[in-house]
Amino acid sequence: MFRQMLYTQLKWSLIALAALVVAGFAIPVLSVQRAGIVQPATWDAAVLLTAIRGWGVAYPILAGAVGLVAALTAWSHDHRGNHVYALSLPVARWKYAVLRFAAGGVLILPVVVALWVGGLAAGSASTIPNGLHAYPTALALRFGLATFVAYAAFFAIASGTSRTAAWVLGVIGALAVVQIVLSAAGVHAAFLPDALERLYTWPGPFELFTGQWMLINV
Amino acid sequence: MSDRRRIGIAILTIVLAPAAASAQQSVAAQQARLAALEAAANRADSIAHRADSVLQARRVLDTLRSGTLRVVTDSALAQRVRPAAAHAWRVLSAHLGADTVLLREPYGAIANRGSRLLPVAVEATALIDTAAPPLETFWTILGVVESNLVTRSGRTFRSWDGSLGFATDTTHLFSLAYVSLITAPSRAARLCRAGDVAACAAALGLGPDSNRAASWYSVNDLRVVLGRGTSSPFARDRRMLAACRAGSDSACWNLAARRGPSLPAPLGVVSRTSLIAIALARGGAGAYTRLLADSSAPVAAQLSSAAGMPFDDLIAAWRIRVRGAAPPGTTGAPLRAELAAAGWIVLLLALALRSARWRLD
Repeated sequence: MFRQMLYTQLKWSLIALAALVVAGFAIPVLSVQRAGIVQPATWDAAVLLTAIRGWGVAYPILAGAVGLVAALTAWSHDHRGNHVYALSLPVARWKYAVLRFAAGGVLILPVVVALWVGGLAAGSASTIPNGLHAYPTALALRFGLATFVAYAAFFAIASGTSRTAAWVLGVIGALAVVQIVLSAAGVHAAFLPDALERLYTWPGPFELFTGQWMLINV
Repeated sequence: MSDRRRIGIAILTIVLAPAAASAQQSVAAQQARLAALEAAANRADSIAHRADSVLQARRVLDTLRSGTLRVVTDSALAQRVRPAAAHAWRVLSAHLGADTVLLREPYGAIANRGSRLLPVAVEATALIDTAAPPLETFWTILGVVESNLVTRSGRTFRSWDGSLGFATDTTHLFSLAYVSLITAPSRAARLCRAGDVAACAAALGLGPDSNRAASWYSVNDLRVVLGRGTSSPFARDRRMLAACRAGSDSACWNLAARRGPSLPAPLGVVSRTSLIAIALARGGAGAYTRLLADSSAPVAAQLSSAAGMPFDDLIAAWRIRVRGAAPPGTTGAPLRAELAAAGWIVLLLALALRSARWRLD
């Protein structure tokens, strides 16, 4: 049954995942494109690190995108069919959700592997100044974990009904509106930035997304 | 002769005639013309001076005070300069502490277009870009004060190329100094990393003057360092560099010797500014005054005096601080973030298993 689910989810998300695999390979390669052309002697290491740091923004964005695509494609057909297929199967709902989750998780792996291979290729193809090193494996592991966090978050939202998703998004939107109104009224109650900060700092779920994502570093 | 040819010859005559006449001009005529031009330039200069004098006489100046910082500026500029000077004072007083007495003389601020002179004595003058954002005015004033203090610390100190770092975030500064120390292609920097204090001083350009190249670089380092920047205009240097790159050690050393004082020290302005920051921080109250006290002393002695500690101890303290300033959050995430992420994945999956109205069991 797992193989069948994996096959169907692959079929539904093939084009999007293929694009994300290409992006996963391309980002590390593009991040060092200048390092491969310019003679290392002319490189100021700090300038190279700044360029690499600039590309670091792309990794968490890609992780979020992969998680979103994998989670939405896992549930979209069930939502469209009003879960009749799932209800017709002789399996418990929790078991069905676990199988869906596992199938989506397997589909994430090619993107992580592509990013790792891209990092290895970029690290070996570019001339890195003395004292700096490439960290493709550490970067790929972090990317993989961040992708799974995003996937789990979107999967949890998408596994509910459309109404649940609407409620989640509605509450977030309402909080944003209240914050804007309060700010416009001159009331200093920055609860939304505080809430976001809690999400992105320990022990929040998205701390992995913050900080610097650098393929090359000291 | 056809009409077309006739027209062509006429055009050529019109175009070439003045050039032919000019070529025939005598040297005496050209000298006369030069003299006439000089006279015209002198007249214009005289008129400009008179106009400037009239403007100076009409000039209305304001003296803006923020703490002990005084800035003399044109009234028209005062509105722009006042908040910038107040902001600069806050930064300066935080850095200088009791040493704000060093700002005893007023500074000038004038618009970058218009008269370059203030009719009063000032320590240094800031050129204010009136079209730039207000924050730019603050940076300009702060930069002029900083540059003036460096100048007052003496020619040796100034040419050593350090900065007082008023405009620099200390954490970022030491992080950059760490990157410099780790990546400098230099024998002295490597020895410094390993704990050799004398090598640290040499890498910072504060070692003995004799045989600097050998104390800074190995021959392989020189191959990297000498190849940096623009190529030399001298063919001999270019040949030596090519030979150096091709493997000739003697060519490398000879080229380094030819570079002389222009051969860069391994650790540049960022590292030096971080050393000054350590010296001033360790020195506490009066550190800036002591730094400026003897402008003829060697840089090492000035820094040691500012820090109130032996120079070797200062370098050792700098090395420890820089070694501990590795840039944060590199590639791998902290373990606690990874554990938290794993926990959240399990929690979110558990939520996904429980939700929805189409539960079967």
